[in-house]
Amino acid sequence: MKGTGNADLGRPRMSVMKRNEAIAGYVFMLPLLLGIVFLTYGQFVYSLIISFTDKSVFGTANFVGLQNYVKLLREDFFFWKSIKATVLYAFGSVVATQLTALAIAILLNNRNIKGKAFFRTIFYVPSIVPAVASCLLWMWMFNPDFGLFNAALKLLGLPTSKWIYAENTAVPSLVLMSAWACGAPMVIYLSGLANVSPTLLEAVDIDGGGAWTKFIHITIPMISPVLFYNTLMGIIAGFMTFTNSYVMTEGGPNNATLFVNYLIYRDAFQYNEFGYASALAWIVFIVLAICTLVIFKFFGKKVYYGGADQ
Amino acid sequence: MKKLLSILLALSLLLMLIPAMAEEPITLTFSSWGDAAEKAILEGALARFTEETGINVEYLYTPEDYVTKMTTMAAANELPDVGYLSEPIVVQWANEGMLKDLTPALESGNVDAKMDSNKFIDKNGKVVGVSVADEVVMIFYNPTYFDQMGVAYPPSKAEDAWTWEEFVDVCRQLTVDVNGKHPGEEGFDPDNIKTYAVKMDDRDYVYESFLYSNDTGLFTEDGKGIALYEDPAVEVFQAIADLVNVEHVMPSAEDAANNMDMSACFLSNSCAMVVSGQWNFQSMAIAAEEDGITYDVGVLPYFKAPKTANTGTPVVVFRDTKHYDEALLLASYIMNTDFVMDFINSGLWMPVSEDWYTDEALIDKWMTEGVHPAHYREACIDWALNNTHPSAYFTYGCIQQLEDLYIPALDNVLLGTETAKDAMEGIRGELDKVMADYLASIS
Repeated sequence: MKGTGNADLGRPRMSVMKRNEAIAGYVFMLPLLLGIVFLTYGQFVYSLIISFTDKSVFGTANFVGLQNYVKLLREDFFFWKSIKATVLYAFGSVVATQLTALAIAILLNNRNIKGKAFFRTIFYVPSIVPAVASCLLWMWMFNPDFGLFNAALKLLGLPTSKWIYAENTAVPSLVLMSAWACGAPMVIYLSGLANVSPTLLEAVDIDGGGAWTKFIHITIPMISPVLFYNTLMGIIAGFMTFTNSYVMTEGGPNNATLFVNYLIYRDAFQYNEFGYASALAWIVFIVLAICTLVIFKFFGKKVYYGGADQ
Repeated sequence: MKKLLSILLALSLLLMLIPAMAEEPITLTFSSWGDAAEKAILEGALARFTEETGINVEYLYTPEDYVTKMTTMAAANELPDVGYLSEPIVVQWANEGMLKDLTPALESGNVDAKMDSNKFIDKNGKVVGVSVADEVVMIFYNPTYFDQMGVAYPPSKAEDAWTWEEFVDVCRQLTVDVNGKHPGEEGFDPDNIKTYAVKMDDRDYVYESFLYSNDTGLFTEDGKGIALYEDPAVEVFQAIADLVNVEHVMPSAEDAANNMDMSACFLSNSCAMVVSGQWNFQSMAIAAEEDGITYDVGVLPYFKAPKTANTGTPVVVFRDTKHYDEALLLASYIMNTDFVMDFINSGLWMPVSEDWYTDEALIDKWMTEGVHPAHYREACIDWALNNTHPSAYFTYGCIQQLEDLYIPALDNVLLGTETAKDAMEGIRGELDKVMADYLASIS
């Protein structure tokens, strides 16, 4: 029978102590919740609102509808250059970083390697070097005149490059640099590889399969969740890149590395156009959201979660 | 009893209000960037201001990302009372009402007469900023190297300045590859140059100096159009790029010589001349003392007439000040030449008052042995007085936007992958748009 007698029927009544504990729990969570609401989501909402206004540092905001978005897509000289540079960098860095990280992880996962902990540390260290410090280091290595790379190329009798100093090589150079800091995804790959069942690998051995067959048909499906996660995070990080263009190239040469985040910074803090910069930020958000959805749509189903639901 | 309690409460409230009613001492905020030495001198100046006026000053020192900091403070309506502001954005900020009129300070008698070339003027003709220092552009050179090569020093007087062709000719004589050959000689190796004749800061003040010398600038003569894509400007940009790619007398952007500071260039004989700003005398004097390098100074070569652009960070009074009169007084102190004599004597700054360029006693006070070299008087003091064309950012509020267009566009010109004509034509529409938006914003 429903709806008769005590309304709490069917639901165990919470004891006073439990209720107090729950209240205390919420109280302890409150600072964090307030922080998220006001300092994170509050800013999201605020930036969305001002993206429809002409808000600048100089005065009050007037509602301008979709004008900022239309101007960005149709008139902004830098916008499409910036998008092109960012997309190139994001996808280039994902491919370079993930391949490098996976390759190193596979090598380090080999049972016969001695001093694994040492090598793991060595390969992980670049990812904890402060961004500006690593930028300065790479600026030296990229220097066409006295840098390490051109010195090595000269030694091998190969043609040299202008690296970050030429329009067509600037983004590929920064992609190369991103692969250097692949420590974080490498560690995740390592943990993924540790979970690859030896039984399955032995089964391939018994069936006469080689290393390549094992890698393609066992290892890749088994580590697909981490592969998926790392790729997604890599694309997001690629779109969010800022320090390299700010410190190393200032968006140059000829705007070749004017990444979107740098453009947002410039529109907001040099041109003082907060509304316009917010519209740009939301366009980036939408592009990223679409990328993420596409990746989920096409690759999400191919990820193997060991029989468990996603 | 109730009545007594009410009276007591009222009395205690009154007692609490008394301290609040007492006049609070005024505290101004002053913001600047600068290195440790500049910070120390400014702190001294501010302490003296407090001692003499009784007005406290809170010093907001922001050595990095200053404009970002000011923008954020402006957004929060918490701008300081007085401070430095980056040159390219001063007039833009003023036109938007962010800066106060400094005219009362200039007319107060507390400040000596400042040169017009160092005043920032807003759309209404008001003075909204005055440079704390004047800075002009010139040729620094290594006389020891010139002696070794048997080449005459760069002229120190504007009337004797090299034409661009003469300059290029001298550059060929000064440039030497690893085999001792000069550009134009049989077997000259442009990929292995030991000493370049010249390097230039790839910055606005250098470009503007040569644009003015070719009787042009960023803007057309009527101030309503862009001149950067017109023939005289294109000629200047192409001539500078040709020094790198055709004449091989100037290092390209990525060349080691281009990335050395001036003293290292002279010490290693990587470059014989450097086109840069006056402020370098401070570091050159230190290098001369520590490393024994030699340096002197000459005037810039010219296209049609010898000219230099000038620059100079201004002190401004910000919109949000609640103590305008006191802020003006503080601005006057910062503008006072006596306050900044240490900077002037060290070679970092030049005075902004015309008297200092014409009065021999003041010039003696300014010139410092071991810092200001033999030809400083003609090639710097007289040069600044007679041949300065104020940089565009003293009067225009769209310089940052223009620089973000034309300076990146010059990257490929300097690399030799695009002509100046093509590069400027490529951004012509955008330049015109910036100008149209700017004119609309001030009309």
